[in-house]
Amino acid sequence: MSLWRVQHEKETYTDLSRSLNKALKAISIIRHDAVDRYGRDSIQQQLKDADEIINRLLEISHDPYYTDEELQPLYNGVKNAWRDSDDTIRPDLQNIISSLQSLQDSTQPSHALSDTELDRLKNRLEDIRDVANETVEENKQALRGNFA
Amino acid sequence: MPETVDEKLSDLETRRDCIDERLAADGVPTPDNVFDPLLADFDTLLNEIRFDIETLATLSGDTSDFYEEICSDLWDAHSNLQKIEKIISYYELHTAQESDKTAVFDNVRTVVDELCHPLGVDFDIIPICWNQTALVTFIPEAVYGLWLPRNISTASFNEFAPLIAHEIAHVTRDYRESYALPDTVNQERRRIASEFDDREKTVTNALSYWYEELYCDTIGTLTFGPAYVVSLTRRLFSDNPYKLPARQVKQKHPPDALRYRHVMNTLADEFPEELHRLAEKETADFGDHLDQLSAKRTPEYTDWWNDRFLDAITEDTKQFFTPDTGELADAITQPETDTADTVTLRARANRNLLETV
Repeated sequence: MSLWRVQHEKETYTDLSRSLNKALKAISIIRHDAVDRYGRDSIQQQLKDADEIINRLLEISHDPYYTDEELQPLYNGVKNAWRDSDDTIRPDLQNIISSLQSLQDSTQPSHALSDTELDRLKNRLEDIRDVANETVEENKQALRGNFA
Repeated sequence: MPETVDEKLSDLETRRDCIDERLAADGVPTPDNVFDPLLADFDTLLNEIRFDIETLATLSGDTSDFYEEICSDLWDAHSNLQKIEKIISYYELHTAQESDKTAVFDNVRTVVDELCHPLGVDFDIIPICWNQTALVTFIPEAVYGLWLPRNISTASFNEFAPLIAHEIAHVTRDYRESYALPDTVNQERRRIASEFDDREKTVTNALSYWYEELYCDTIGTLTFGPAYVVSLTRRLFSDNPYKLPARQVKQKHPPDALRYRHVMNTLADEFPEELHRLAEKETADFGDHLDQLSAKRTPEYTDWWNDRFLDAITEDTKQFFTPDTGELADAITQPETDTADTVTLRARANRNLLETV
């Protein structure tokens, strides 16, 4: 019985969703000029973690057989949600990466991106987090049916 | 359900206190190495949420985004707590069942210990009787729960024991360097899936799942020999042993017929001919079952896999560990000679299942 797989996927996606939510919170904190309250290092780390996830998605977009089995369902889910193909999803992912990097590199992150750019970044990250959450929910249902 | 983040936080704090009470209760062993890391993670998250809620109160302007992000963390915390509550329940259930199932649980632990030796892994196992055979992770590489079928007894244990090897094989996934498909297996997957124009994605995804299950079947065969093949075939039963996944892959196991082919081939390659013949004889009924349902076998059945894919899985498995097939085969075929301690239980299961030995 492959409960190990279902459970492993659920926990992986819980962690992914949490990482993406941390990045979303970091952006909210930047917007509200509350970085000092959390410390710049911590905010940067949260953005960097999200950056790594998006980079992995980008790698998958270049090669459907890229062996990142853990993120493959996330990639497929995001592609479906955005109604993208492997080619058209890339610019969106690349935009997210460059926005996250601008926030990380800037000495004044609250001025690094315009409000519109921040809104777009948050919307995209929220979409990805929500797809991760859907996977968690699906696996939770599967596990609930099996008690585990 | 609490409507505000403060109420939800307070609800989580109360449940956290209940966990402390359950952990402090006498009678149920709840090891620190399981619960300390889980509770530490949960407490970190709860502290983070407390701090965020305090921050929320200091912010001005539109804070709806930040509020929503706190809600998301609260749901994660709720989910973490559910996991801890569930693991405590496992320990409670295990303790409640232990007095009736002492011998069976001891046998399970002995088999797991014997398997840990060749596989080079070491972890604790918590058996519980539930409704099927399955593995659940408490702490990766350290503690796992093993579900057993409700009707398991010492009398039926020899037939069940080899299936433990399949579940323990899932544990070894946590010990490998990566969860990714090995390159050699991936190359074959690419070759197979790229032949499909409109279903390439479905086949690609299916073969990932198949890899994992066939990897576990390979470990089962390499560690238990013919007994694994016999036990597996007695458990595999479906109205379509050649079933291929539909477009949305929900079927995580390969077709029964493919599993049978793979374990029999592995047995033929890795064990003496005599044992392969015995396994063939003992599984003749399953062969008949496949024949009876051969009309279900569609022309595309063989397009989904090839022997190179199966061989790559076997080779990958043998890179993970060095099987003790020689010792096991000797212990099965020469029962009168001294049996190595490391194969005792496995040899006994084989002798019991292969009555002609």
